[in-house]
Amino acid sequence: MDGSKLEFNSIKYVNAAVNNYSVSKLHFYISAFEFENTDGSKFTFDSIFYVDAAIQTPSFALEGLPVGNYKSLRFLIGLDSLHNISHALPNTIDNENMSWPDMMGGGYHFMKLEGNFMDGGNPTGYAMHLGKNVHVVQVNIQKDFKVSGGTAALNLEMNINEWFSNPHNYDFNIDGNYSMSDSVAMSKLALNGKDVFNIQ
Amino acid sequence: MKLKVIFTILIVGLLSVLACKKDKDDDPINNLPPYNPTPYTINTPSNLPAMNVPSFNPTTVEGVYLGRKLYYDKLLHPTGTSSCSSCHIQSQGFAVTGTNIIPHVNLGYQNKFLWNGEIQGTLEDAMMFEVETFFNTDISRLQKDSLYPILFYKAFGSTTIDTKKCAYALAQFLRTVVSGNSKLDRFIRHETLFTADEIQGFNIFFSEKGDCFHCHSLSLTSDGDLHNIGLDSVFTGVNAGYYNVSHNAADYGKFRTPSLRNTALKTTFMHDARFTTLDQVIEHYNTGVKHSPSLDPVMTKPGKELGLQLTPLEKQKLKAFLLTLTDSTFLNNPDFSNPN
Repeated sequence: MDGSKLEFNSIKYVNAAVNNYSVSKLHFYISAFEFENTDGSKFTFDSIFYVDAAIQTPSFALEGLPVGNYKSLRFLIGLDSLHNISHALPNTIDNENMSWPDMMGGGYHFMKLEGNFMDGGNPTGYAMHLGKNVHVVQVNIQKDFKVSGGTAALNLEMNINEWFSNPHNYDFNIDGNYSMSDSVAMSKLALNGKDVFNIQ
Repeated sequence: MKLKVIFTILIVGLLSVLACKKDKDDDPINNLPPYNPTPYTINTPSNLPAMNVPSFNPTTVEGVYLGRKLYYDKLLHPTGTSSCSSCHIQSQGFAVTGTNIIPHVNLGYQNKFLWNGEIQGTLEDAMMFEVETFFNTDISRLQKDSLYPILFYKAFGSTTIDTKKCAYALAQFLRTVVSGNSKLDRFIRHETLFTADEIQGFNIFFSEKGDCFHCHSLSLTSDGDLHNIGLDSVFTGVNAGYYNVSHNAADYGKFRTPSLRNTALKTTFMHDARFTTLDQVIEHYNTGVKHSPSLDPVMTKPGKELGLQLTPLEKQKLKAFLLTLTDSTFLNNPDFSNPN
């Protein structure tokens, strides 16, 4: 969070709308990676990774990326439409827990971000759930980075506060403390989400 | 005279040596075949998630059989007064109707155990707790038994019994105790149809209307996590839930999401058995949720701050759906029954 490691269940964070809030759960998918070399060549990976932020520094392997200098990385927070269909992902406990009921269109949650915020003087729950193809988040990080030989590590960092700003200052009191079945709230989150990630 | 006595003793001695030798040949513990356990494939129905089996305790036919035998054996108790099965009765959903005993169903999918999540890790960790802390098993009783050392050898390659092997065998058996043939399972697999009431109840359960699905996920009917569902607003004693484990105020009133399988067999609900009918449980979500700082965020969505506000007819349909979670195949599966 703003450069420091996330501490769960502590109402110590402040977003752009000056909501004091905590995080109790952060689950999401990242997928469809595309690396662009400085020479313009592109390398894509159709891997899908599930992240539970409560697990210490989750890491994943992408094999076969050529050594070289890169200028950008693109990926999705969520799933592309081919995979956002019920039962498209392997039947694992995590995927089942992320499933988006058929009754509501099927597929999967792209993200579940939950916690409490101070509503007046009272801690009140919020739940930012993101799903449906129109709300997939397209991340496009323009930054020079080098991939050297052997096993190279790329550190991706999510700044949770960025979900609540740029371009929309998301205020739990005004925009709603629940995004479920609220496509306006989800659209704002999806747009804000494009720059939550950075390469460290 | 003196010589004769010595001679007699010698003969007796020789006879006893022969007798010993004969006994030794008959004793199966001295004639064990090579250790070669048979891998066991846990058959989970297609609609249930794949089960993670830890590589340090692979499931084998011999391990599952041993675990099943131990599960039903009062030898696990230091004075022989009860077995696991005394409080986990198959026909009652591997629980005891009318108590808050947690049903042993689909435990192989869990990594948090007991109502308040006190034990976390693998099923082996949970079973270690049961053997060492709950039962405080006297291993010498099993070691002295005529059969168990051989069964442990067949399962684990050694006739020496310890609490870890007991826990591992129990974990292997309980991973096979899978419920996946309720009407809901068959409906998901397109093997049967729901009645109009059941489908409408299903739709309430799996939509924002009832919003049950955020914790009671599709097939397992549990996300395996800990939540405060608003049973209390002041937390003392056992009602403090996971707080009693973590001592973090954010965990007041959090309990593990129970599986809803075979819920129709139950006559008490929640960690302290405070409700006695499914109607009372539904009414809790409908009008009885109590607010507190640790209340799960999903419980207070806009328009539902005072509960789900379902109509009597909608509540009836939700209940009709819950009754589809009874799995009679599971309740009668001979593979889970007492082998002793």
